[in-house]
Amino acid sequence: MNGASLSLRRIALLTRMQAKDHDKRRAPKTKGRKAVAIAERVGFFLILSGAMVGILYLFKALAVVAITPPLLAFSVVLVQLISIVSCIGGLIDALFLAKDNPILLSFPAKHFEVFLSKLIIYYIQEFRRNLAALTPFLVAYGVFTGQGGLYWLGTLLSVILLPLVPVLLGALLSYPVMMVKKLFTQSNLLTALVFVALFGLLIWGFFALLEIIPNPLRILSNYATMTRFFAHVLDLVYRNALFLRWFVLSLVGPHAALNALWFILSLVGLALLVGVITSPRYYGLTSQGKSGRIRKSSQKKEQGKGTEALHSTFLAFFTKECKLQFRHVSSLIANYILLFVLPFMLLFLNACFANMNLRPDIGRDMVLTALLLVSLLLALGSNTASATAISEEGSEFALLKTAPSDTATMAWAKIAFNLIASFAVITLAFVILLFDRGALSALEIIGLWFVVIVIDSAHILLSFEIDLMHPHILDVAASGTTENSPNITRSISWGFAIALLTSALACLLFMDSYVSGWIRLIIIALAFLASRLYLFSRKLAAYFADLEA
Amino acid sequence: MNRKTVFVFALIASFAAIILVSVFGLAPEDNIKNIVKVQSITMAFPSEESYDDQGNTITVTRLSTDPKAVKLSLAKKADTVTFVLRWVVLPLKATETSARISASDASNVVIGTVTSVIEPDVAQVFSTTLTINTTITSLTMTVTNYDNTAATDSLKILISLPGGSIDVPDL
Repeated sequence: MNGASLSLRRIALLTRMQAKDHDKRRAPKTKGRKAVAIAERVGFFLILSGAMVGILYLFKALAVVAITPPLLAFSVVLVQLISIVSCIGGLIDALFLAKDNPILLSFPAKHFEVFLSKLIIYYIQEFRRNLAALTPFLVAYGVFTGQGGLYWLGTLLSVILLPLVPVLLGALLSYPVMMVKKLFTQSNLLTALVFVALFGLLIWGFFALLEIIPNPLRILSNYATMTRFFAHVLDLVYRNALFLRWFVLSLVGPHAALNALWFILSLVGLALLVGVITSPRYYGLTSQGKSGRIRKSSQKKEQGKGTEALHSTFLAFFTKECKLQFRHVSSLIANYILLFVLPFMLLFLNACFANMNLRPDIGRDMVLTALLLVSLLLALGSNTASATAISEEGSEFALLKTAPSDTATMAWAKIAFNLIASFAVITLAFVILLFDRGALSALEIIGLWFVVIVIDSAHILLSFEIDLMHPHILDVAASGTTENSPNITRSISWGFAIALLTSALACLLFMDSYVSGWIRLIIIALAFLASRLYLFSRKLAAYFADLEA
Repeated sequence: MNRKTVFVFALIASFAAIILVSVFGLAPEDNIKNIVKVQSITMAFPSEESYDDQGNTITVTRLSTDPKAVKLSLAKKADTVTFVLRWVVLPLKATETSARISASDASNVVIGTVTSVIEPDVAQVFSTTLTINTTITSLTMTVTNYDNTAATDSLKILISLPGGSIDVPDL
């Protein structure tokens, strides 16, 4: 056995070892199950391709965009961009921060083989993603436009070659991105400055976007102009798609073979750059032994601070909840991200409606319904913290319950943060709306705000109830995270259903009688809150004592 | 169901709401069936003006016998003749209009369409570049509303080709 084949065997072995950790799915063991799994995937692929052909027909029928190479290029670039971002994040962890580096590098394998095995893992991931996303589109495009044999040969090759693009670019960019991330984590001031700058830029960009909304806005009467704008964007992407343009031209353009050659050469160039730039960095960092090292926080504990007696049990628990929320900023953002989006979405919608000459009856009712639906969807999707309030305590819950006070107060303290955060952001969004009312009156905006606040509060209680009735304390104690908790899914699903039902009901009530519709809607919302409040307090009294870790 | 699903649904719901309100919720004067018609069009060819493009000489003459017709005299030097058509519209409302240019000797085949957004109450001059690479003897230009429902005016352009007809068969 020569050196090359031995090296390949080592790479294959290393890849298989890591693939087991990377892919949590259980591989089918029997032949029958394997056949079923393959049939499922082929069926999924065919259904997806068929659906995409349908979408292309719809695009053609509605004359949204022309089914031409720029559309193909746009789709390829979009999928590749998403994959590149995903690969950069994943490869930073896999190459430079992975805890398995010291173990893998201690094996009788060359460093380059370990490095390559890590890239292969990501290649396999991108290969799968490509099969599920881009390849069905390439097939649909080929079927729709009746492409010849050369196109199908190119599509077949793209299944193998295209996943290399995000992996190689991800590997190339992972080191500089990691260094920038490191810079930010080391300096809180810099992080804060960049955050403020980015937030300012976001606000500026958002208001610039509002400025370009045409006034008056008549989408249908200016349909051709809009579709021409889409065509212009697609063409812009097509002309600036760099080496991916060669890929597209190798499928549908003239000089397909030449363009394919240029594309392959660009991949070779990228691979060389990865070999020259990234792999030495990988050896360098891993040999320093920093990967996987846990850095102790340099925060100084302030003795005495926070030890003043909090006589109120509620305040004590509430303070603890606030501290916990702000200590874990990433989970805070994850829980409330939809709520942060709410003011922007409302302002955008309102700006669009403000530029429309609405009918005073149905037009106004539709606008109110749309604003209510979007507000409720985003607000109710942000109550997940309440849906894991008890579960997130994990093994600490038993200790909390031994506190010499009415520990059921803890429940109120836990939902208080959610209630306050939701109230503050929803109120802020509607106050901004009051200053730029557009098509709505001040009374209508206040009415919407009130209904959203009442329904949202009821949903917070419902979300907590979900966790109260089905806590996953042991799961969290074992895994250490509430991520993927079924209670989060339940809370979001309930919120989604409530938002849809409330909006549909509001639309019907407004259309039936505008003034009495408002009154009936507010009464129904208040009744919903009252019922949730009653059920919450009853269930808290009945079941909280039974909860055990 | 997760937060991403809710966000995507909220985004889709927002755009769907904008489109639905555009279709059903606009005031009667802005409703698509009531888009105000383009009031009039006039060709903006002054008499005896010459246009030079790609070596061809195009002379425009307004016919005194038919105010709806202009005559283009082409002295051909290239395989195709490219010239600029200009027209003026006076609409009452901001809307979208398109000019369809048909070659009448070829069974009214549309050989050019240009779409423009027009502002209300202001006469505006538009232009489009038209390339002729086949045998035609006259063109008809029609300005219509965005949905092609209301042809409001048309103008016939007669073409004379002293340099011989242009006959490229792939129209």
